[in-house]
Amino acid sequence: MIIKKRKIFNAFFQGLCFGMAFFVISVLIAILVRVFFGGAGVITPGFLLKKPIEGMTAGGIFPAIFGTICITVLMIIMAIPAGIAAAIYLTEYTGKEFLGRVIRASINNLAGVPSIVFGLFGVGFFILFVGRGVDRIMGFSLAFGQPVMLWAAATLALLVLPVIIVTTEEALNSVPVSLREAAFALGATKWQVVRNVVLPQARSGILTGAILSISRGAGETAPILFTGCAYFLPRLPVFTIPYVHIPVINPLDQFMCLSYHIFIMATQSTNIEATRPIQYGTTLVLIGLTFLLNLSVIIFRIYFRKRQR
Amino acid sequence: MNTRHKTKEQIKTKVKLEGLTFYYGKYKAIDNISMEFFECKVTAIIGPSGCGKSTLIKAINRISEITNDVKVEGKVLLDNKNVYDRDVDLVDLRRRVGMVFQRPNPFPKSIYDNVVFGPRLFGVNNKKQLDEIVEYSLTKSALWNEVKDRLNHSAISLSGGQQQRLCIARALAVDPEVLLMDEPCSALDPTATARIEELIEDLKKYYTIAIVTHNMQQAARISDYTGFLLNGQLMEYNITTDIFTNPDNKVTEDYITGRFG
Repeated sequence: MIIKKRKIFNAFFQGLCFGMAFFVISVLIAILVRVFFGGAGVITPGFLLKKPIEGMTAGGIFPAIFGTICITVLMIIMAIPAGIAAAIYLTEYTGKEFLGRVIRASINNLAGVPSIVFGLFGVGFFILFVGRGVDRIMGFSLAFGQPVMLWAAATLALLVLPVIIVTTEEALNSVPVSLREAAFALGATKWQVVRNVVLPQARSGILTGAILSISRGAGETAPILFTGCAYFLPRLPVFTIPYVHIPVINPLDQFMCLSYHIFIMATQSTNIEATRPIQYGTTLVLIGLTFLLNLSVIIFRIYFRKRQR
Repeated sequence: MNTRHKTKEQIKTKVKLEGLTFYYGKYKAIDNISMEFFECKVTAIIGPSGCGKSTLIKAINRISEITNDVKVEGKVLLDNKNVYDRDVDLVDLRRRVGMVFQRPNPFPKSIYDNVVFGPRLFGVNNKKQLDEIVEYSLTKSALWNEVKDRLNHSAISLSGGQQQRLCIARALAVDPEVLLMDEPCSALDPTATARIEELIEDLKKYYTIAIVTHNMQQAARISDYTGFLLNGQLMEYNITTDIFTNPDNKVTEDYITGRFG
């Protein structure tokens, strides 16, 4: 009798787990299918390469695509070095003593802070404190002390920092002690061990952190809301170097962004019916773009893993 | 220098332990050991598991303190200079005292890059000079003929025995004076073990070698001096032939004849 009860419970538990997993996956598939069929129709070369016209009810979304790529790349450039440095400090220079515990607890808490709080912090710290400060010292009238791409990317970088630190720390810890010992026994300094043995081994783990942070950062709206994202811009945030005429991304300009574009079309538009297909199309492009950015990092990672062998 | 050694067939002390006591945290791993390691001789450390053999030789290049909380009393003299003195440069100490570990631990890099790892740390970047170091070190570790055509292959592709000889070559590449070997054959098959033993026989012409081994036959075959450790204490230390044929201590005899351990 007892055996039978046990078996029933076992089957029930297995069924429960399967049901839950199935539920999660079907929600994901439902979203992707809905977005795909809603948006695939509007995606044309013109949609991808032109700017919005007629109060966002027609035209394309190129400035938003451009802005999203710029800000994600800028975010990665800022967050990766800071995150790696923090993780190296935590694994190699602090142990389980008080300071290390405090820093780790802070990072875990930072990961739980709502993104809108990061956005407001970005305004207060980056724009008003750092930006205005730089302007005053350098004697600019208003260059750094306003919402621009630089500060939006910095705010996003802060947001993804915990993700990068935690994954990098795991990657560093997984480097075998025997390799560290081997290097120390040859007379390497701590920095040489980190630089020549630990980091090359941890490279693919660090790139995993980059992938996770792109996924997190590229679609965020709240942190960039007040820090540099624009409702509509007639031009791209591009600056042409005088004389040589080479266009470069201008991090001191405002930008348009896919996530914000979706938000304003869904909430601020006067003609919901006209913008609905564009919303779906923009969402699909955002998902696709995140996927492409991730794919490029994954290719990097495969390349590094191959080289390691 | 030392009159006693001049009279006694010209052997010179390279490393001398004076009342060495070694703690991991609160645990006393080595208890008041005094002994000497002689130049161009192989000294074997034998004893049952956990008796402090590895700790003893790792105390010489101070490698234990990287991963452990350690405390040391007494002295370890390398050429009459205490390596636990405050002004000792650990980087220089570890260059002079090379180490080969229990399990082969080559870096996941090419064979060439493994050997030049040490010299590069010290700023040698001249390609010709590095090439010479590679050929010299691999020849000395009896690996050159097997790998000379595939120096850019990954070290991980080598067999266990080859990997261990590569690790020896890597240690030799920084031109050490002392070579510490912590059970270098414990992860190898008998053929590979025999090759390493031959190699040690050859290397002792140039280096002071301290080898920890679990295998008493190995100690008897390759060493000139043998120390028997038990529970962190040096029970007996003498010329190898004496230890194995006519031990002073009853415990040593029991261990060597296989009554325990």
